[in-house]
Amino acid sequence: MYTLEEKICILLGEYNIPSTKFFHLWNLFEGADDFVLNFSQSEQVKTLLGNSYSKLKSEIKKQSFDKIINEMNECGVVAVTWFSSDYPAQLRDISDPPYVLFCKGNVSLFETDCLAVIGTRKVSSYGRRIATDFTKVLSEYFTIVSGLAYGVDSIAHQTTLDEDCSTIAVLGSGVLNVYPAAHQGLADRIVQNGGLLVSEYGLHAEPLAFHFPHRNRIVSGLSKGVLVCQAPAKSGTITTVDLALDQGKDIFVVPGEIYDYGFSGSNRLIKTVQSACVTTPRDIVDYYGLDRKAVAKQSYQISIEEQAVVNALSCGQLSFDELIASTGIAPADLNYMLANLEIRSIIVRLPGNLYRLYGGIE
Amino acid sequence: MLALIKSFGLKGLDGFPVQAEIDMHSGMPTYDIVGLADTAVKESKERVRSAMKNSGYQYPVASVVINLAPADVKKEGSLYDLPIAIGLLSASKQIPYDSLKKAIVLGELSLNGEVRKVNGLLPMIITAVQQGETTFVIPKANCDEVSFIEGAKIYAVDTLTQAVEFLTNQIEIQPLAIRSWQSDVQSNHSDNDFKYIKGQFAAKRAMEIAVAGGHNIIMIGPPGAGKTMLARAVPSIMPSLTFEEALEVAKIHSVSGQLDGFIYERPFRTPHHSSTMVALTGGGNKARPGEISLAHNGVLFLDELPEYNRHTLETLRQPLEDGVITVARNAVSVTYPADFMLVASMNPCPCGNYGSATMECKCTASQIHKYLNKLSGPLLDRIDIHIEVDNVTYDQLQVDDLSESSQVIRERVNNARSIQLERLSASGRRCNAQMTPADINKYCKLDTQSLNLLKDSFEKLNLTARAYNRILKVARTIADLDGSENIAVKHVAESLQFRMLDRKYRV
Repeated sequence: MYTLEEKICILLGEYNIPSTKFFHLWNLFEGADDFVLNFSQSEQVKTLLGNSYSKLKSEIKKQSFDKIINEMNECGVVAVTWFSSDYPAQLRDISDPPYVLFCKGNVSLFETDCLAVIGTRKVSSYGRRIATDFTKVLSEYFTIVSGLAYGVDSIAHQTTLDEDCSTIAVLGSGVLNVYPAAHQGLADRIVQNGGLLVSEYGLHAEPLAFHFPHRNRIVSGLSKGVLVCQAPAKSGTITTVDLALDQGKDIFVVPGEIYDYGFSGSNRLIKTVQSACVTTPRDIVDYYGLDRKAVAKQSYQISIEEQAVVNALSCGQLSFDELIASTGIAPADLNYMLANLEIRSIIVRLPGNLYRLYGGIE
Repeated sequence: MLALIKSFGLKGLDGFPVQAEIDMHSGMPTYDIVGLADTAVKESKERVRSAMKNSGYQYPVASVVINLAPADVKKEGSLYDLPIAIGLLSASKQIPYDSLKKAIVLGELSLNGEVRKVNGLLPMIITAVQQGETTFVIPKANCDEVSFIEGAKIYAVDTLTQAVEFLTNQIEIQPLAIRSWQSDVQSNHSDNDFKYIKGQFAAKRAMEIAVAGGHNIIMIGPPGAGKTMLARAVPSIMPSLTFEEALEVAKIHSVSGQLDGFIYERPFRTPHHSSTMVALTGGGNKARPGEISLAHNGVLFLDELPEYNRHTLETLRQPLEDGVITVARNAVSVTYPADFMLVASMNPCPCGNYGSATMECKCTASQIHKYLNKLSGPLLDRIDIHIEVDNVTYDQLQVDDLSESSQVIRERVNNARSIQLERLSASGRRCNAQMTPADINKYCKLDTQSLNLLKDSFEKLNLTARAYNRILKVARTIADLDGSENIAVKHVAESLQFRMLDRKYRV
């Protein structure tokens, strides 16, 4: 079970005491016993904690840690604290490390090699494609870390799950109060598939706006490198990259169209961060000197007409009408062929009745 | 003296006989109507008096009592003006009561003695004929709507004088000629024909399938993509109205006072998204039919579906399933038919540009999520076909030659419908969309190849379980269009293309 030190971390974590304050506070005392004994006497503590002080004072005096720990046990949440042996080593090195991590799921993932896959919430179909294709390959080598937000984050988690690999989601709210609520199901699947939900905030903490840039330091801190799939100039993704650079992590950026505002941040990173540009997931695998895994290529037989569709799509994405114009196939037959080709993963259907080749990147 | 004039009343979509009893005795000049008459009936006093005076008759100076029997059923509307006037004339002995023709008399009077159009005439006459009545005197303006009724002599009159002279055998009027039903001659879709819609091959094909199987359809696309144009063209490819169908539609329109002539085309109703629930389902204190009943045997087009009040949309669920709606109000409870094809359209996101190749979408992910979530699962469950409609390119607009005309498509649809009718008529259903799970088991057998395809597609295309039966129904329709007895793998594959909203690739 938890030691007294850990219990203190859990209690303060539940009260959302920021990590900087915690370490400041901790240094005022000589160990856990002293902390409990003298907490209420210190004037400095009072000024430091402000509003939370009076409540915390009585709880620490009574040493009433059981309520929160019982709730954690009931909900399958474990706490990894600064004082635990299983605290992720990579986080000890960053500035402003979290002193407690509420975890739901497979905590041993902290010991694996992690890679952060991040990007904007407003993802374009190209960005979606990048996130899917890169994650698909990289999830075989790394535990994919991301933030469970809309857009790139959720695609990264989802793709990892589809590949039957494990993933870590770092939340900006409590682990029992998943935000956005629409991703509750995704969060559940992550836990069921041997993944992990992590948050430094109390179990039911609200998703306050400042939590999100703050939790980004954990996303990058846990990972060896950070892959940016799509980032406009002003976005949380750019702040994560800044944090990652401070932490000395590797940055990988996939380039986008130069006229596309959605990729303005990505392209700027390519200019400013040395050797950040990657165009295939293999670039990252090679960078870390990992063994290439042989990809089993499936081959399909396709008919002459289907070949015509594939040829038409080889120049880029086309709409249904454009396909009819260029191939001359009747709508009924084309529908049938497109469905067939999609099921065999030769083409992909995009929002807006658009189709493109599946084209995995090598 | 007492005069009895036969008339008719309306309750829901059925008529009931009403007898106007007019009595007169000496005393203070009064005018009383009894028999649960509403305000419009009570106001007949002024109209009848002026009409009589202006037609050259005397309004009797006497105490007048009018009873509309049966006395315990509500009567409403202005249609008793004419019978009351005739009754008054015979009660005051201005015309001989004993030699009056025995006829059912219906009509509103204007102050100058003209006979005006009344609502709900068609269902009343149909019931009356069923009950053995043969002679009717009706306003001339109503004669189009009853011209298909066989087994009755219907005389249309213009003025009170004409009615009186006819009933007292002073003049002869030819009864209305009974017309035979030839909807093809009258139907005219010149403006909304599929041949004028350029490009949009995917959407047109989906529309053809939807109409062929009677499937409900939703179109998702940016503003200006042509969703409304496609929807308006739907009636032009629907099978022609049979007389029975037209009669049902005409009855409903007659009751709600929206019948002008007769119904020759399938109705196309487009209630605005600010419509209230009652406007859509029917109601009010007289339990009038709503838009969904007016769209019976036709198309109900709901443009911008998520903009409708959620509660309003949910009320569509039961009529979509049963094809009827029961409107119950404190005095009346009426069941109206509401067997319509739902055509809905929506944007992919609040700004409309999500997924567009040319325009930038300004919506946040959660906005899009919220927008799509306005449509409840059970409602989407009843919409078999979901398609995306994209903008037509400039090049396609410049193509001069017209596309396939509605006439050609309609022939294919008619063929597919007759196959379905043959298969399903034993169980009382008409099209594939109405198939029950038992029917699906019986008629939608798949070969191993198709089963494998379905199995793969569920994994690959993120389909949900609720899509399964829909896919089979639509595949059945595609096979029928193809003239194929069994569902082949290509029919299943094509029907997989029509489940856009089930596929969770959005946001």
